[in-house]
Amino acid sequence: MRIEHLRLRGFRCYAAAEATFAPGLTAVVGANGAGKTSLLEAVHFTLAGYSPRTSSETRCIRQGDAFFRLEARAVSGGQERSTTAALQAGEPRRLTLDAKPIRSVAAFAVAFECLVFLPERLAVVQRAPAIRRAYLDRAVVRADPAHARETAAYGRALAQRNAALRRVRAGAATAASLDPWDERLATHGSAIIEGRARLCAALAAPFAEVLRDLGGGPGAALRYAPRVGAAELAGALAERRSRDIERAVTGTGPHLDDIALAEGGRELRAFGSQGEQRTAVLALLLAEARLVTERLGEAPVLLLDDVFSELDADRRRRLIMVVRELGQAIVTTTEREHLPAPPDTLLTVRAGTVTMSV
Amino acid sequence: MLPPAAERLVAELERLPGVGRRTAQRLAFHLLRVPESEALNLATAITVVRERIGFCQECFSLAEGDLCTTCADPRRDTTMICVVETPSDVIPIERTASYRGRYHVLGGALSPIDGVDPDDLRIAELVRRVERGGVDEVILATNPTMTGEATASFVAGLLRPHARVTRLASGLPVGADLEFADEVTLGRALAGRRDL
Repeated sequence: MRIEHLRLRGFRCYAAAEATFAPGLTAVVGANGAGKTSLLEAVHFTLAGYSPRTSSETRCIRQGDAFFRLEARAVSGGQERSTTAALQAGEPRRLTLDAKPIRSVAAFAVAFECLVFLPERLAVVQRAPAIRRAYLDRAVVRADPAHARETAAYGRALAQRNAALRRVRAGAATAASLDPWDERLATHGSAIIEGRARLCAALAAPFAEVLRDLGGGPGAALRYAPRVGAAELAGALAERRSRDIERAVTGTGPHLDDIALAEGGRELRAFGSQGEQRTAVLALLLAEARLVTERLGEAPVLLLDDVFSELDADRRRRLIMVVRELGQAIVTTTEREHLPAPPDTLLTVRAGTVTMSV
Repeated sequence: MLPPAAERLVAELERLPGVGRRTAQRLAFHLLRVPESEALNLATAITVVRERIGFCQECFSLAEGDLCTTCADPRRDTTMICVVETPSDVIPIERTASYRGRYHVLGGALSPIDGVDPDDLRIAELVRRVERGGVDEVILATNPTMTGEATASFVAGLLRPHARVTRLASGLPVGADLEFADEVTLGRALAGRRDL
């Protein structure tokens, strides 16, 4: 799968620009604020249907412009596809796929696979379990779109059970009124636990492999150890009921799980250096890229923003080797010297213009 | 801008579900334009409906008098009860013309977030109806939503000792194309498949 050409109008710092991408490695080089990340964002917009950076997408409209419009030509499953994304302030975004209007971004997820690394993704290793859960759940949904409904249903059931707990504690309802919510929570919760366990089991081996290829130490581990197994969730909720009523909050279930990322037997969150943590997040993404490749028989498009900073020369070289094996990748960097080898396409970005040099 | 009496009518109409300010104004102007008798017919209909229509003592559907038309009909099968959330849910089931039993209207679905507990629904009345005997099967026809499913599971737990409890099947709409079915519906249709 690959993007061949992108045309931008009124997007971020680009008044009007276009870019052509080679099948292999494209490097986007430019100073801070020149528009490297915005170019990746535009590619993601045309392949996934939304911005990976912001939820208020009107911010993508260039200052002084009334709208933005992106047009891309891509190849997926051996077929030439065309997509457009456009947004005018105050209106819903307009997406088309092969010139047909598309209402839901789900149609883009079916047509293209595109995995993105942004520096803020480091939070997946560094910060609270909630961020790892959200990341993992999104990865589960990428592999199995129907799973999105389970996550949403679990959230609604949890809110209802917590409300019921408050009402029981206040004496407004009897403890028996919790029964149906325990049942709903157990049904959707088990589905979530099973989905996460399936994905982590599939990711664990490629994660360890990729981490080693990227220069990480031995003993890499990706472990999902739910506090309650899928089959035991109903029993655990029943057992916790009196304590849950006291605290008026559900104290067990997949909404409290964490995913352990370790290298050499050490938790990366607590012990990893900046470079090691960055390598681990990249390994997670590239491991998923390998799974996608297996599933589709075709590699996803990789968008890697500012991946070289904090990596030493050896790790930079290894990263490029792993990425090149996968398929098309678009990588941004401030320093051309950080590129371990000449890319297939070199795009230089300067004040809203993109120039291609060979 | 409008005279106070007209403004009041607009405000009252605006409280109706699905009616916004503009629609309320259109309706109000319409009522002022038509012959007086026609407008008053509407007012009378509202007064009469509120005077005469109450809840059926048996199933809590809408009734003129003590019993609704279904409960008053001796030809209806008294061994089956179909449980629905609201009186309007009775209409689509009646339209199928394939259900000959009786109904029980719960008056909503459990939703602690909105402050709806089991006591706020006609669940105890349903249990009493079933406990009285003579009921072989209770069909739970609450909506296939989070709150509807939770309500069905709660009611089923209470009724199981007394009667056979069934839930409406969910699956593919008649005349639908497999290709366009969503995964959840198709998954449920697969799980609920039957021998032929």
